[in-house]
Amino acid sequence: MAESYAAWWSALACFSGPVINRSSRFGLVPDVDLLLMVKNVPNIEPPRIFIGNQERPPFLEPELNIHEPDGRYLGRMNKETEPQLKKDEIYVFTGFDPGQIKYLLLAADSVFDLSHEHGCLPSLLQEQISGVVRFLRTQNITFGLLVLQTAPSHLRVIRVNPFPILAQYKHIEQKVYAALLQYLVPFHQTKERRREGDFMPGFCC
Amino acid sequence: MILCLGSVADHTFRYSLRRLKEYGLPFDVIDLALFISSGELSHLLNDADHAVLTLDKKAYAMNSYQSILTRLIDISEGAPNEQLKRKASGFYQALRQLLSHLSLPVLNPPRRDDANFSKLYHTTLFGSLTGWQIPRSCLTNNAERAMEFITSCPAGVIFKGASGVKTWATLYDAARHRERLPLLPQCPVLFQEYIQGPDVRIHIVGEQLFAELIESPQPDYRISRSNTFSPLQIPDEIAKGCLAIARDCQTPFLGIDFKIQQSSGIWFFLEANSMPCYEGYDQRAGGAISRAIAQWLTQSPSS
Repeated sequence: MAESYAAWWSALACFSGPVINRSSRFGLVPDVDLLLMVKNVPNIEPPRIFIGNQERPPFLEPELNIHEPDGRYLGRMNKETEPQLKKDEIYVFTGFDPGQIKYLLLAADSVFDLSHEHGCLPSLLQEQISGVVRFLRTQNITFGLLVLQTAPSHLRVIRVNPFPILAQYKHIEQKVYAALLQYLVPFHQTKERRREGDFMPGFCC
Repeated sequence: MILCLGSVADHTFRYSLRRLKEYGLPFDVIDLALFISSGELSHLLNDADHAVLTLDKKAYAMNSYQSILTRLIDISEGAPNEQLKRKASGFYQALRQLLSHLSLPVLNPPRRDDANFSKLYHTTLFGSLTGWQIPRSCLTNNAERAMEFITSCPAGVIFKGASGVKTWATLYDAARHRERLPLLPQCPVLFQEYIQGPDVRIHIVGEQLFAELIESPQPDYRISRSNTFSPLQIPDEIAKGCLAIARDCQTPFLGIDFKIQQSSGIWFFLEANSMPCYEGYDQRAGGAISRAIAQWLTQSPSS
């Protein structure tokens, strides 16, 4: 298993053509360090994440998502509900305000707002996230779900998931595939090379 | 005070502790297996410096230490059951997060050189950063492709695992290995042209370099008891490259391996290991490597 994993890692990292979520020193699948993002992108706040095996988070947030340390989603904790957690095991608690949450999909050079019927990204948000998208490019993320908490005063990246699932973007499926395919077309077949960090706010706007 | 975090089953970790003790440096030790079985961990992702680890009612506050020495090993595969395996894996991931976000000096911080798990990519990455030559390589699970590569290497071929899991570099011998090539589809293997000549191991600690030349009758000197070891003056270009790699992956302690081709004198880069087993090299160097580690751990961050 380890040998196949390592072989794919090398193959995908060294492949000379475009690769969606190219493997790199950050992992076979890019593993985004959110604190590194905060250091590198202006006007981004760090996520409220608590990691522990005994205590509960010391911060108050309307909702908490609970994951295992490997990223597996376990459930949500709020005033009404709390998933059954095993004593002694490590959990990752991510605080957020559901009223301010935005789900965006980065697909190659396009960013889609998944709450919009056609995936259109509001221009203000487009401006706010340009630094985030540029940073994700440096981490080789070209296909990923971005969970953001947006408020007039701040932008907080809650999570970057390099494994978006179809159910999340089913309503704009064809646009997403078109964006990914356009990226995968070899450079010599396109009229001009993409510039690092270029992206479009969804095709429909 | 230094915090040492590792497995007491790891010979190199135990060796490091002995050396710190000999140098009279104060340190606390947390054994990974014990910590996983009964320890407590909690921290805010963006406030790692205030994290506290608790074991046997003793609290280890990160901000009370000057530096951390760690050999963080994922021991979950050795767990006796699924529940412990998951728990051990969880602790490993959480400690990786914590140690990579601390502002105090950590030797070595995790998540800085994960590419080491994939040998061919790792070699290519640092080969291109430094401009060093790397051996011609073929990573494949295809017997025909492997045979083509073997045929194209008149000086011989060695083969080894594709991953960071320890394997021995073995010289391909048609009489012994040809019949095993059809097994390749079950497991990819890294083939490399054999570079005839001595090995070199350079340890880098901060800005200090320690080199040793190893002449061995075996293609992989680690399995031979008839090696000859001698100190070596490092060429400037190689020293600069080693420092560039350490800076690039922000890792203060590395063991970097080379082969020097006997016929041409060319240095071929093989690997930069961020968790080197350095005991033997240190003993032959009179403790110079462990002294440099101790020095690095006790210097103030601003110095």
